[in-house]
Amino acid sequence: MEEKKTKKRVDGDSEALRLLDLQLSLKNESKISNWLCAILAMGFIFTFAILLFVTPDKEFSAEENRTLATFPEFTKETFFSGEFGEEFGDYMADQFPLRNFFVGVKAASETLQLKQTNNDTFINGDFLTARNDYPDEKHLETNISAASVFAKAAEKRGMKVVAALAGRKMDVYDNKLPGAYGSYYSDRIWAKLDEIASEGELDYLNLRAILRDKSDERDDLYYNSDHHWTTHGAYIAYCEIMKELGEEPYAKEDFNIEVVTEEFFGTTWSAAGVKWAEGDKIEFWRYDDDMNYTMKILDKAGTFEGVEGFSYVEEDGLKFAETKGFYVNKFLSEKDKYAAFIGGNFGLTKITKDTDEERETLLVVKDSFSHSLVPFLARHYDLVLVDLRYYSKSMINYAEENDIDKVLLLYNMETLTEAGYLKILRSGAK
Amino acid sequence: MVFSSLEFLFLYFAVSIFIYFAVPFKLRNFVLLIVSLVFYGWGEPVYVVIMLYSIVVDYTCGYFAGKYRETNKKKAKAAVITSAILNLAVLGFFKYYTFIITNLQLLPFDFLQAIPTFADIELPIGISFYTFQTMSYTIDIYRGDAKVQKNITSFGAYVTLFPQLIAGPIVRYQDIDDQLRDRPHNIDLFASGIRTFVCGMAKKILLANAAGELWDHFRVLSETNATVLGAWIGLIFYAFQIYFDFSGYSDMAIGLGKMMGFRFKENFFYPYVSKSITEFWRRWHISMGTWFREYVYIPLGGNRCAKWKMYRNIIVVWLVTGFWHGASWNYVLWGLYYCLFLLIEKIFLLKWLEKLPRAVSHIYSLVVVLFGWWLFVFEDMSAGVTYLRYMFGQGVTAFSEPGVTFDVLRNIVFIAILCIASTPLPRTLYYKIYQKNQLCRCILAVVAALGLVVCTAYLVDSSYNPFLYFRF
Repeated sequence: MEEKKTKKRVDGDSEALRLLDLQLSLKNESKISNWLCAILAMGFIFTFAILLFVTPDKEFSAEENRTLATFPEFTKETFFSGEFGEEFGDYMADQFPLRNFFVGVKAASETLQLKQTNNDTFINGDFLTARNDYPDEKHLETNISAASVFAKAAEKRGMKVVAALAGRKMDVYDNKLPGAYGSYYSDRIWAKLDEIASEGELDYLNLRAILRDKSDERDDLYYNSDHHWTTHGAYIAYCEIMKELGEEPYAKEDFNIEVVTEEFFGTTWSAAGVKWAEGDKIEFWRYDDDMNYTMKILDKAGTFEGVEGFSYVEEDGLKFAETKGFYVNKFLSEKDKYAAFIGGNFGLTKITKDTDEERETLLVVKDSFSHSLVPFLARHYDLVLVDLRYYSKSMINYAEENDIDKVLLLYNMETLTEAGYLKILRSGAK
Repeated sequence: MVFSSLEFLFLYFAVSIFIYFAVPFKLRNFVLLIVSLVFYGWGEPVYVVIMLYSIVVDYTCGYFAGKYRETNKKKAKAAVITSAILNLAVLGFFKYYTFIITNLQLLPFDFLQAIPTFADIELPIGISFYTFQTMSYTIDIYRGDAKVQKNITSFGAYVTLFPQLIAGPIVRYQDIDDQLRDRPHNIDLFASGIRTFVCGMAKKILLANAAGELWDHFRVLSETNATVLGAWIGLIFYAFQIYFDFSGYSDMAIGLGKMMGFRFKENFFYPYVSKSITEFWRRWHISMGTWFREYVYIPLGGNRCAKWKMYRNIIVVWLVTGFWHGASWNYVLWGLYYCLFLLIEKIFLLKWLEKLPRAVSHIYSLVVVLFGWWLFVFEDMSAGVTYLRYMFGQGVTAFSEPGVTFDVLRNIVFIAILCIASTPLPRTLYYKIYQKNQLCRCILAVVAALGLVVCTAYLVDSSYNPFLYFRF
């Protein structure tokens, strides 16, 4: 008997619901709203299905700075292994019509749920900061210990070395992060850095601490929408670096501040997806003769071919793109406007002043944080900029062969914990 | 293919539904069969063969079971047994073979070590569901609960029916027999299907996926930086994930079915509002519970027999239920765990629970269910034990850390949404608004369509990986 009862109760639940459902669709016969529902939903699906296949594929997304998936190869093998089906999903997602609009819709939905972050990016009004609780300490160890080996070797050869390490936005502006989150993780990784640096006897310039001290009074040291520091932030770093190098930095008054765009939407803006956030302004800090400089960029791929103001020269058997000054204005009309500083990331860039006066040469081993610093440093030195992510040669040998007088290692915490890029600094360094 | 993907919605579904309604009714089962096979073969084309095998086996067995059930009971029974053996053999091989052999190899007999384990064979998606469905056909015929389906296309359409192919509900043949022969296609059912589908999709994408991401985050974090709060909240997010994932999927299946004129039964009925474990299992994965009751528990004698036999039957059913969920010991334990609570409740606890305040019995049920999920989620049981220790403060670095606290705080609204969505409240509210007037119904239609847009946004975004720093 009991068995029957159980059965009845189970089916009772679903049956009741089924009946209710049925009743509703019969009693409140509502042709209009049902047609509306069907037309809207199916209209949406069919419209986008058709758009997806008639709109031409894009190869590259500037928003995300990556190549997009294109139509997957269809062969018997890829089909039967299921590979085709899998890649087809990537293709559809990457080429989906109005992709950026949908990314914004998702960000809006997350914001409405008060989630405070989207895609691991803190959203505080227009101020967007990448979140990283546990950056890789092993990479940090690899990089810092290699840097200290290199610094010793360079000093032994009579070069002055400054290692300047900059903070990420979350390191400097923890006052703009949610209170519960604070600076715990940031302090943690910088304490680790201190530990590794003192083990390797590397005396570094802590730009995080310097900028963080100023972060209460100034909210414009880093871009709201990007992970880089602003030109103002870079200027403060420049002053400190010059002191370390034993020279007097130029005063703020010695520059003409020129706002070149107010619509810079950078990397954290892309990640957060908050299409409604305001863009940043980018400043060029100009001075009278700042076009009397020659910049040569090692450019194997021919990125600057046909770009106004560029010509190509050969040097040591390598192809360099050559131009006047430090700014590549064409990037100001593209997505990645920060690339207007020295044209973006390249393995080797040389900057000299068009003059007969004797100038010292500064080797800058760096990531992209140095780019907005270049106009300041170039006023004092001829520069050789090396990005070890794209240029891997023994730096100590390079420094010796090219009559380098001083060396600046300039990295931010993100790059230091991302991969062991600096490992190559050990090469030849004894 | 899964429903919660762009290729399903904007390619497969768009094309299938178009063809389905473009052809006359007579051909619709055939269209269903073909598109379902494409659906199934999308990710693993080879396994379509198993599906065809399953169709042929039960079409034949069902035919003989029907032919002889009046005249020759023995032969009819043989047909049922053949069906069971052939289906369970496939299920057994793909799902349990490796597990059984690797466990046997723990025994100290040399000849066992020589048996290949085929550890890299992948489980064909949905095999647990469709083998059960096809078996139910032959059994229903034998019992006289359904008529023989002479049309192999229609039968094939039943077996492969793409809406419930991957994750249920398990549709018994007797429930769908008539609908295969004739079913209504009208705008009311179609629109109702869209609403159910969108609701399921929202559950899956907006709730389950988001909760799942958090669960993954906390689980991975616990491996290096375990905290008490992180362990608890992680498991709670998992409990939400599995419910919304599973019930969302069922809703999508039911909705798709409705669009094509099928009426499937509800599969979940707000299990997290239960006030006892007995009640929980009446509300959780109803079609599976029904299947095991109809085809295992009752044939064993159910409870119309001696008390000890009834207890034996319950234990057998729960052993099998647990094992059905996966070929790993933790699922077996999970089944027995529930068996234990169900027996205790049957013997005395249920009566007590009914007298206790609702809140108390509700909390009791939720706690039991939560630890049930703990058993369920860790196939590696030593990892599970470690996780449990974290929950009780053993081997943790701290009670919480800023990132964990922040993640809890920033998800407060989300957690509230999850809790409310676990109750019948939204549905009640929905029906109230729906019944009000025409305008309200039209607004709800727009809301459903917008739901689809938001779900699409999450699907598009899930592939959105800004590669911030450079590109090789």
